[in-house]
Amino acid sequence: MSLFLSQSQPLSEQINTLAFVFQFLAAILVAAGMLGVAALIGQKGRKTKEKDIPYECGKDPIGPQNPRFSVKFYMVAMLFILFDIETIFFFAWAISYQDLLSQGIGALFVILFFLFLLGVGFVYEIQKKSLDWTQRG
Amino acid sequence: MQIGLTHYLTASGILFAIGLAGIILRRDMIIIYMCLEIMLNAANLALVAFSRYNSNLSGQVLVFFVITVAAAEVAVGLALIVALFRVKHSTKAEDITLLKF
Amino acid sequence: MNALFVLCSPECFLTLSALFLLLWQAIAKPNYKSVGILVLASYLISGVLLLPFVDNQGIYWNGLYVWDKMAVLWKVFFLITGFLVTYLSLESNSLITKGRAEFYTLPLLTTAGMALLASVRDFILLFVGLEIVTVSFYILVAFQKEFPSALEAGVKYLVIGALASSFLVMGIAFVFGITGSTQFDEVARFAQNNPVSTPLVLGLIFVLVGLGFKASAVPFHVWTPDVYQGASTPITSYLAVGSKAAGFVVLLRVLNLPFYDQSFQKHWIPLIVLMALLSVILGNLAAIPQRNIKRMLGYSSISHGGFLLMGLSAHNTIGCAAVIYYFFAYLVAIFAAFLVVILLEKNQPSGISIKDFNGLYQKNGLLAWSMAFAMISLAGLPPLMGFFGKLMVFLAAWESGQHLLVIVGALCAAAGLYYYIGVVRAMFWAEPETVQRIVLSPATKVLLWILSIGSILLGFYAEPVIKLVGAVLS
Repeated sequence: MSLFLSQSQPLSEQINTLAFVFQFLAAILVAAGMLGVAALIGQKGRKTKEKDIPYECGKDPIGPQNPRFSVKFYMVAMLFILFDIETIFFFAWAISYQDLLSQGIGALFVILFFLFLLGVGFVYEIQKKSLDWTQRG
Repeated sequence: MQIGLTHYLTASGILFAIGLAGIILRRDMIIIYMCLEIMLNAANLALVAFSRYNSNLSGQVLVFFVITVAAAEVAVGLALIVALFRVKHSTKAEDITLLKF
Repeated sequence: MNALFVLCSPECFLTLSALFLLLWQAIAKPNYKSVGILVLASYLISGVLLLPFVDNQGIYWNGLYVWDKMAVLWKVFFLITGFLVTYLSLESNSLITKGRAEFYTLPLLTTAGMALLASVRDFILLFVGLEIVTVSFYILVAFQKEFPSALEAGVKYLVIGALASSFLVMGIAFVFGITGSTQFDEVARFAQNNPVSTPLVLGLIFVLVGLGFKASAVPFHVWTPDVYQGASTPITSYLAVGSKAAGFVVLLRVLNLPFYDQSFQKHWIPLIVLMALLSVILGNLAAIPQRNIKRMLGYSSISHGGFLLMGLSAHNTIGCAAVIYYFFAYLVAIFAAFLVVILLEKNQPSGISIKDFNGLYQKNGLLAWSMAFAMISLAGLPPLMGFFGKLMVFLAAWESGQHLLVIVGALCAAAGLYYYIGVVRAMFWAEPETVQRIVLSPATKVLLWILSIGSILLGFYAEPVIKLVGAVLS
């Protein structure tokens, strides 16, 4: 636990302005460096239509050059992200559940209400057929 | 060498700057969203480090909310990109130039 | 803190009714109109439920949430805003083709977030409330997804909004890191007992950046004209009033409690003054050449943000009372103006320019007079509400010694007359291409009358209103 915090020192001594100075020096250096180097070595180059063709063999390509994913994957990813992230609240709740229970049953209702909110979203998704893979995305 | 608050904050500052530079420099909307996530996570790193340092958990509680909000933002952002792609067939920032004076 | 109080608070009631309406329309598939009317009803019921708790005072949940007179006043403001936005959405329903029920229901959640912001007393709740508002606005702005301009506005709003919120979180992280707490009172106590160090000031600046975006103050205003133009008109009015008010209510809370200490004030007052100066100048000057009415109102909204920041820069009770009064004046004028724009848009969905107001007086007198009162009130000419709002803001700023700011503000307000009067001139003295009477529904007529008369009456009786607001604050 004392990976970066030495408990022996008082707090006020540990938080020094130096830390922030370092943070900002580093931040400004990196930002300025990236912008500067990009301007310096990023060659504008000559862009011609022929150069941008994926296959420089004289044949003009037909159709889109990069393979595309179906939009359905994005839709499922979007719906997944939300329900996936909500679990972090369950972790925090589960760890402190025993302690909270000693103060009354309220902790249970809080998480049940949260589950109810998620449930409303889930029912809505199903009713709108967003999870139906055969539908056009 | 002991890793101290300075190191965490430096890492967080570098991440923040990378994200900001990415938003300014990159042209693809998806990359821009990734850079926004990097910036939020830089702030998260700073929050967790401070929270441990102050031995006060409320910073970590805020991190939970930031993660959730970031997820919601990305979900909305992805939906916008998908809708925009259907109309414009491009996700490049320079193609989004309809509204200007 | 009893359960009844929690259930009756606007944020809780509006959230529950939004959930109910979403489920109901997903399962039973009622017609859109009835969903819209139920949304209107839930704003009214929420206002009624607020009545028994107006006199409550207290700080709840370990200092997370505060319920005082100012919170109640702002909650009422947001309920009125939400009600009018839904009415405007019902008027403009021909413009929204898909998902109309969601279009009516989603603002309930946004208003709930705004009502939550009226009671923040902790940076964690501040962030959560602000994001409820912002994320639901991303969706609302881009709602007409068959229009490329709406999607473009949504993408621009999202990128800049997310940028602002990451600055806000970073700022909160700094404040938390130095003071060891996210609670407003604790931060204020820390500032009283300890010197304010550079990182803490940096945290303050980052928080101001994040909030400046919501208030569309000048260095952070770039999204405003584009998003105002691209979003559908009811949402533009919501952005102009609700989103800006959400930014300002948080600024009022943050600058008057955690950052109120003298050692903080000497850092944020110059910043606020600078933002106010830039907003007033750029907003008024850039609005002059605009042809699209929504874009023009976007720039005008930036300049009004500047006037409101002037009130904040006064850092006294009069300044805060002036900000609140100004917001009510702004609400009345903006909703009247946008209602007229929506009624004109019915015949011309591609967007309204100043030219389309030509000869509106011959088409419908009530519309022309309502728009004229709105424009004159926004410009700040004497008998109307907007004038007293500006006067109060100027007085407050002058008393606190911001003489330069007041002089520049007055000059810019005079310059702003030009484009507001341009609309009035087009309506009364320009010849229209075709004279086609516009027929209004009775409810719309009543609303236009209320908004016009309200802006005159509250202008004449400005003094008692401002005294009332001042009493609420102290």
